Amino acid sequence: MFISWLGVFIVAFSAYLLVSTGGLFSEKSGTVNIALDGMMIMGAFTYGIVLTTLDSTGENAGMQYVALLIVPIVGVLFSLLLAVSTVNFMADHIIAGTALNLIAPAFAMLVLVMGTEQDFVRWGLYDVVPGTDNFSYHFFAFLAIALVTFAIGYFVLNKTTFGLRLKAVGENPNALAAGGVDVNKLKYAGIMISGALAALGGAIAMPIFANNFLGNVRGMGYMAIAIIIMGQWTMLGILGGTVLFSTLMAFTANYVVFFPQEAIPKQIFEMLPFVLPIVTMMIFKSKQGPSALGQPYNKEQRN
Amino acid sequence: MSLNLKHDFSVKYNSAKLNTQKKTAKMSHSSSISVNNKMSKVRSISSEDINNATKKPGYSLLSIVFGLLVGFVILGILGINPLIFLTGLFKGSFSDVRSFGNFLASLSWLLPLGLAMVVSFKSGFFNIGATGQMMLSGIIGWLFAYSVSGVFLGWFWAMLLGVAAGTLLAVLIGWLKLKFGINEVLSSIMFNWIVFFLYKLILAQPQFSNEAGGTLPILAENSLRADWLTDLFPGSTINIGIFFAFLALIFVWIMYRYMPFGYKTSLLGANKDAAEYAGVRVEKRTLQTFALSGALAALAGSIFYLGVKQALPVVTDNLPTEGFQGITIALIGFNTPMGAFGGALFMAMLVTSRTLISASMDGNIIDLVQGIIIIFIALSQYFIIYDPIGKARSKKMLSLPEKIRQKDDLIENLEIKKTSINKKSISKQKHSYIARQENIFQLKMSKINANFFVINEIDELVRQKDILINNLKSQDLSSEAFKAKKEKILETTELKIAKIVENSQKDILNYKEQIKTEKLTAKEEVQKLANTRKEENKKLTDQIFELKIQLKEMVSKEKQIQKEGVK
Repeated sequence: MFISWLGVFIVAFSAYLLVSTGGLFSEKSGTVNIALDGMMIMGAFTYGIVLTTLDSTGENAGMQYVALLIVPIVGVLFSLLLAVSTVNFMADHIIAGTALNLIAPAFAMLVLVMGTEQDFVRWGLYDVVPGTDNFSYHFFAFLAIALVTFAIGYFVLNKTTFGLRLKAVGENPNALAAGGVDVNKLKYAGIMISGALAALGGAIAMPIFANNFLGNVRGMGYMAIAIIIMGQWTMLGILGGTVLFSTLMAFTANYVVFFPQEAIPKQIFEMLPFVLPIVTMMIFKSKQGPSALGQPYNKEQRN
Repeated sequence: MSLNLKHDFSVKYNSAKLNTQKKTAKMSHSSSISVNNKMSKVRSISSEDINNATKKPGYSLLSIVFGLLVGFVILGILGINPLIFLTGLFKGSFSDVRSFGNFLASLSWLLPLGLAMVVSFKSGFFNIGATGQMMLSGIIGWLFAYSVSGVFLGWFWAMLLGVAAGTLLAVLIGWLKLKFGINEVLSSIMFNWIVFFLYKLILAQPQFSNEAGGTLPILAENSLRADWLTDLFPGSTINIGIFFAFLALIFVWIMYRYMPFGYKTSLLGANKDAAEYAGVRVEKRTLQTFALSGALAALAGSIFYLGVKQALPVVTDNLPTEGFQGITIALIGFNTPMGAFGGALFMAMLVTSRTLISASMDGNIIDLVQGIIIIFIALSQYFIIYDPIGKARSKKMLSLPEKIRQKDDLIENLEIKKTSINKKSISKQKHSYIARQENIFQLKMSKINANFFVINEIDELVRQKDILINNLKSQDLSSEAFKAKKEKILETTELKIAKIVENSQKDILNYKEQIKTEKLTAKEEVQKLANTRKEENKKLTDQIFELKIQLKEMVSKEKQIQKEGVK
């Protein structure tokens, strides 16, 4: 029971931490990224396809790390769609993000259904027997990847020139531009980092879906947005939100074990991650996200 | 369509500031002046832009074409004949009476959904929660229509309850925005998922669900389907919702055209400061807009679940994409009610053909194409709002005074160029002259040196001769032998001197020639520079002359125009 809980917890924790760290990078650079879900789907999808082509027999467990190396590249490419439309063409971030969220699952399912036969059944669940304990020692590698990425992200965002400039773009891009910094480049960087990390998170979240990838990641991308809101746009807040959300997720995944009678419906607990950010926003209304969040930056415009 | 995130964040930011400053004073968040000051600095997409956009429906069509094209390419890469998709689009909706009935049924819920987005976009909000409002309306309506029987006009009450629930959800989102400054997009996303799990909760109840995972169908007496309509389009899912859809369209159209309510709410999206100064009660109108948008989305939900599906269908682990189709419709219709009608027609075609297309290929292509269309429309907004093509064109087409100013500037520039060219060439001339003179001087110096060298050599030879003769004197020779030797010495020295002189003369002549050529080239160079200068000067003066003549003509034209204007 505990092992099964721990397995889901570790995987969810790693995935949420990666995705919300990536999301924070784009939010800090002033881009509202509601396409995190779509990016995760693209990551998970790429991971599955790459793994199936690299290791069709399911014997070479090392191949999943090769797949994890390729996944961020696809994530960056996919996020470029958002970057081009929001940065260069000044499109509304929500509209572009919604479009990406529509495209990703549709594309994934289209390729899965129409593409080369039905051999996308294996998704790299090495050492895992779905339904029983659902635990693999590879999960610790995922955890290490997530924690190292988080630490690097923390350092980059708070201690390096690049990170400080990135945060300044989200607050006042015009001031930065007056200082001679290329704002659009930084915005691109923020979105591309979020694309890479979200795709990586989507790939790592794969064991949760346990051989049943249906072109979605069960709203984990949206939950990552909720984590960012609950963390009030800080790295440590994100860490806290991630712990909370992955605990909840591990709990709902093993719901039958904890509540054999199902006195309280499972869906109530699944709702909780979406109720909490609203409550958080109602309580902490004084502290908010970057002030230039969601605004297109136009060089020609006087401010 | 307004980008209201920025507004929201600024509102929240400022309201937060105000709250800390004046904790006791009850300040309304969206009506404080400092908010407006900040707002005015931000270039949001205003009503002017929307009007601009209404002039350019071509962009919408272009986006649709591009979206379909990209879809075709993706299908082609996957090895499917894209033509099947294209023919499926038309066959699915217009091949027979049944499919046309289905087309109308799709239109009946897509139209209010699109209108819901138009209403929210026009007032500058982004009601991305249409999905949740649709589902909530479906849940409440289904619960009523499934369980309550024997009520007069049961379908009406089911629909009314559903619409009321959806409206309340939208008002809640609006209230959270006004009261707590919570961005409506974020809260809508959260509410979408909350309602989604509520929906799943209903599906999970064993007494409600069937084997497929959806719910049991509603009671026939509470259905939106009417017998005479079904007889008209046998076998289709058409229902009386189509009339409600058209009523909604007419209402929204009249509202924006003739009713002060529509004008006031659209002012919110156009310019919040102006609306506020004009006396529009922003808070009230915001809530009303949310209510209307939510009601329309909920109406779409009622029609979809109670009319078309007759039950709550099974869902995957992801949000159903139905609610997002309103965004596409509103964007295709450039945020006007009638445009939304056109957008709904197109989307109805896509949605209806889904079942037909799913038979030969995966139906997800529809969502993919839809997403690509949204992206292209979002990109085309840039061309509509910032108008880079128009800017480039307007540079070519100037008014007369602007042209005169341009010509004037041109003449000034040319004159500046002329003087600078003259200065440059003169300085060049000087430099080259000095360089040549230096060369000549050096050549002369070397010539003199050569002369000195010859003289020195001769001196040396003479000295050697004298020494030799002195030696002979001291050797005490007979006079004849002495004479003969002396003569020999004299001869050899003479010969040597002659050789040296000959050699040196060659060198000196060489130098002389070099000096001559150098002097000539110097002259030529100077003349060349002077000539080019003269030519350029002439060209420029000609140009300036022509421009001045043109300028004179234009000025006289403008004077004439002014005179005519005065008359």
